[in-house]
Amino acid sequence: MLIKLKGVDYKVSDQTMARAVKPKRFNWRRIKINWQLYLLLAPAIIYFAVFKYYPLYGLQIAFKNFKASQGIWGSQWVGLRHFTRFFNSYYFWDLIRNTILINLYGLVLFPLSVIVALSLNELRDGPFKKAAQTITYAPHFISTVVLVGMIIAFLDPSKGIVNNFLGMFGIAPISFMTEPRWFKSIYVWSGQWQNLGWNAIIYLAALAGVDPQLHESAKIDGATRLQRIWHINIPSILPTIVILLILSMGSMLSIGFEKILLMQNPLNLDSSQVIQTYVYEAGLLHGQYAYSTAIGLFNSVANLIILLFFNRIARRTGTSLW
Amino acid sequence: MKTRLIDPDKIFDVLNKVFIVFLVLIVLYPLIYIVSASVSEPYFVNSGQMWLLPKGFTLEGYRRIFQSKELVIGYRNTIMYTLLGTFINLAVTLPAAYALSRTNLVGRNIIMGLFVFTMFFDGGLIPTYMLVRDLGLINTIWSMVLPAAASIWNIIVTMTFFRMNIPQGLEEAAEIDGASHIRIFFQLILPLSAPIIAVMALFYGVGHWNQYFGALIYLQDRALWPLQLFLREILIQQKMMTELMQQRGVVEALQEHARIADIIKYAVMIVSSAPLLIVYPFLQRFFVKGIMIGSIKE
Amino acid sequence: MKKRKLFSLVMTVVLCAPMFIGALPALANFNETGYPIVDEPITLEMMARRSPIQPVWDDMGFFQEMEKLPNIQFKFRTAAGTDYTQAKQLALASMDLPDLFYGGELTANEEADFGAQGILIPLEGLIDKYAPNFKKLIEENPEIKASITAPDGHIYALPGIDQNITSKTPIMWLNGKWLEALGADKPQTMDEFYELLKAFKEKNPGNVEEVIPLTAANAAELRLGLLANFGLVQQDGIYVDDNGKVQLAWTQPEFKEYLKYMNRLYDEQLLDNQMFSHTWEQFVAKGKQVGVLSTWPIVMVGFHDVTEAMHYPVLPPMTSATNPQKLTVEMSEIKRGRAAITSKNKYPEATMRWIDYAYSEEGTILARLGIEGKTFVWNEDGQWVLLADEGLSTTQTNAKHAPGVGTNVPMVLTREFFEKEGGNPTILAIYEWILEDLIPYAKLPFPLVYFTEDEIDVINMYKMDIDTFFQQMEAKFITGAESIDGGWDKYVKTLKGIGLDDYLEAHQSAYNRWAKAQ
Repeated sequence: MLIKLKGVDYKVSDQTMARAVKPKRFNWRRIKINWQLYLLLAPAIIYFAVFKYYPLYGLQIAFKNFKASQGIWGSQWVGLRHFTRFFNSYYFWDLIRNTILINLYGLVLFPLSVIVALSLNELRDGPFKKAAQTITYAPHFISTVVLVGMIIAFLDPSKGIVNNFLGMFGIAPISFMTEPRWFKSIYVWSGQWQNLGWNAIIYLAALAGVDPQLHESAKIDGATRLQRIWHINIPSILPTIVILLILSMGSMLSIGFEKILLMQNPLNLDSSQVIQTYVYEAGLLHGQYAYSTAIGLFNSVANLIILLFFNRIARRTGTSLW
Repeated sequence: MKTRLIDPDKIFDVLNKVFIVFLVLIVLYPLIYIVSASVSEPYFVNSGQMWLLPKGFTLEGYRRIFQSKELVIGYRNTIMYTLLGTFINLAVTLPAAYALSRTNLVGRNIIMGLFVFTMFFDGGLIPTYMLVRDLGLINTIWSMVLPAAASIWNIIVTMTFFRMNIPQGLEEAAEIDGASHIRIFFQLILPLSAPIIAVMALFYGVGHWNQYFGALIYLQDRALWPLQLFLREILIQQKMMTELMQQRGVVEALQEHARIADIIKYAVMIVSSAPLLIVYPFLQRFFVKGIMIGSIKE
Repeated sequence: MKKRKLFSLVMTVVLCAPMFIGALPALANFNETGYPIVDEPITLEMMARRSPIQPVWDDMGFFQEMEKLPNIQFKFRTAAGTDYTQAKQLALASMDLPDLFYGGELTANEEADFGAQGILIPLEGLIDKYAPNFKKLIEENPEIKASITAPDGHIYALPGIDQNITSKTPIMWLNGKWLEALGADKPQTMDEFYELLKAFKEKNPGNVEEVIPLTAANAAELRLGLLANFGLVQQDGIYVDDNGKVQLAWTQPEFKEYLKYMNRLYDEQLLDNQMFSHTWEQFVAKGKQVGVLSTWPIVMVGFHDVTEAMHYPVLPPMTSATNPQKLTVEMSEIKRGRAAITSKNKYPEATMRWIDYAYSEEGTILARLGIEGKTFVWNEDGQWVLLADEGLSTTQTNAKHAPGVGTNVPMVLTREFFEKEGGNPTILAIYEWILEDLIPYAKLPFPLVYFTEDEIDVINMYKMDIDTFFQQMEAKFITGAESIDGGWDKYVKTLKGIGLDDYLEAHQSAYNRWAKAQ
């Protein structure tokens, strides 16, 4: 690598370069060369500092009796009072249960995207494949509001297509949106409809990286398509699958909050109230800033722990996030 | 090569195609339904008589939408937020991703780590809300574009693109000619990055176009509301547009409303989704590649 | 040299000028008496709860008038129903304040809490100097002052006075035509009430497509109208029993009886099964199918001829197995929390003068009746008569220009004022009905108290959870999603677990304080 320093050309080995990047030796020269890169980085750094790191400072109200007029600093400490209140509340386990169940339900269905990707991959390239692909990720571009609007319209007890259809078989109309037992299924399956195709893209991309030689040799050995998929394709994309799985574990306690919020109504709350929506309700609707921040903090920490836990497990299998 | 009377591979092929067709139909049906419903008389839609193709053709839904002051305002706002927001997104993301892709950047790993950390842990709803309030952004268009100025996921994908496609040596060569990094960035890199710019513009653009929650908590003034927020009122809270309310006596208005609400709700879905649904097929070759790169990095 | 000195002198003055201009106190722009209130026009941001029947406030005649003479412009931040409650919460808790609340629906706790924090400013000084009308009002009625003064001795919000008979108690109305067609009398007991609802449903005297014998906009409205019949007279769940002890209504056996009764009605489709899920608009649209209405008939059924109201007698209080005497809830004439000035307001004196106008007779008329010639006229007997626009009812027309229709803005609505209504013998008849059927049985559940900051902290901590839980369970009990007999004990136990004792204790000490001061 050729580096220009003070008008002289230096040839530097890659190892030296790597060492130079480590912050241990504070190399002013490097920084001077780099100052322009930092300039390019500046907007992003400012953004993250202001909008992501500064609010961490506001997190402390989770431990205070926050009063707006006293500000974050002036409000007095009350330690873990908010957390105790949350853990002892009558709804604590309901929230945890709903949150985890909705997540697990969705997680269980993740193989569907993989299957779709595997399936699309087996199509011969051509207009059919292209069209199929394009159509399957169309729903991804529909907004959450429209999606939930569609759900509500389709499931309407008197005017919706689903109940009309059921009516043809003499089944009495079901008020899907107001009965708690349907909520999770509606949430998860509509999510699949919307994201199946889109999620498949990543797997498709990974599949594109599978060495065709492997397939050739397998074909010669007489392996059927299915066998080839099972023994070649899936193992090849296993790392990708694991990574994505871990990532979704990481958001286990804070999923799809905006969509749930739209689908909630007073009658299905039993099944639809999750931790994040409760944070919104307690905080922005009831003005209990400190209390809801405490719950949100609990949520984030729990997320992190789950993430670390699963990452550690995954590491045993060879792939992990870091 | 073994030959069989019944080739399992051929069977697989057929079944596979059937599966795909089935999938495509499931995805398509609701979409076709709402397009048809948006131009059909509500009576046929509600009774189930319209189930695929339009029945009782009428354009009244669309007519009312274009007549509605609020929906037009919402549309205008959404376009504005999307354009402004995406521009800001690109202005923040592209330079940062480029800088991060240069291995000779001091502290690169630390900065990367700091950025990625925020994916898993952040201040939460209330502290972020309080920040936006303290910055005086509540009820301004800036609350729509600044809090979401960059997504770490997109930065990673873009950075990978730069890393893969813009060799480290390129700048060294240009630098020897005396060009600064910044000039290199604007005059050399950006033109080469058309694909990733298209992808990022699409990703961020979609995010802006479809978002409602930020608007819900930061915007009180209805004149600033994006389309999705009005949609939320119509589709989910099933609130009647207040303008019609004042033209007639309450009860009659409400009954007329129930009828109109049924028509416009499908038209409104189409009107808000159409732009994106029309645009994305043209850009898909870019983002398939884009995501591919990002995923491989992972 | 000289030029330089001159230059720096000029610069100094120019640079310091903003200091002086800014220092030019709002008072210089302000006139203590007469109009306009301010010489240079100012703009104030007003937060209020509007009603769905009103247009946007910018278009209201009241505000157009009230902006002209005083020379004050308003920017409106309004929302309806629960949207407003949330918006108000947010504004107060996050200090994203308007300049004033007007028709702001501030609760006593909010007054005391945010007043103590300085978010709402003390008003007694301003009242003394700049609110002649209101000052006169409290001088003539000293109990008002006592009721609006917070524990720290300050007044943080101005009330409205509503002596209207129709505001004294909750009212439900019967579909009189149906009653007549059945040849039935007004029910006197809950059993008779049940029979009546059944008859409505089975015999369909109105010949409508689907009979909804009983409905309400929401569970709270239903409770307001009917819970008293079971012996529970409460306000926000709180009441004082005969021993001077503060109790929570939601754990009482009488409430259990209420739930059982409603559950039965729900099961038999006598109570609107959509009551828990319909929007206000959907509720109103049902008007013609309803036997017992929870809102003014004119709003629900929408007749243009006011005399139609004669066909809707009021539902009397009824006795039941748990309640041998007729009871209903009395609501105080003093309606607190209608107007307040926030710490953000740079022109509190001008604002107070502006608000004060509402406490004069003309002001109240403007707020409640609207614009002379457009929404009402005076007739030869000196009475006021409401007008009706083409295709609209009088209420609808009235609401176009008078915020007092639908929103609780500051007004002094005296008995005399209402007696002056002309051209509307119907409403006078309705007053008679209420006087006869409801007023004698009205009981005040809990006095107008204020809580100290500590008490408010306790209440804030528990109220949300208590309210949410009891409302959720109420819905489940009534719809049958949860069995009342099976679930009651667990329900009470859970409520007690939410710090109920501390919650009641806070109310008790406030009550004791009030009782001692009497």
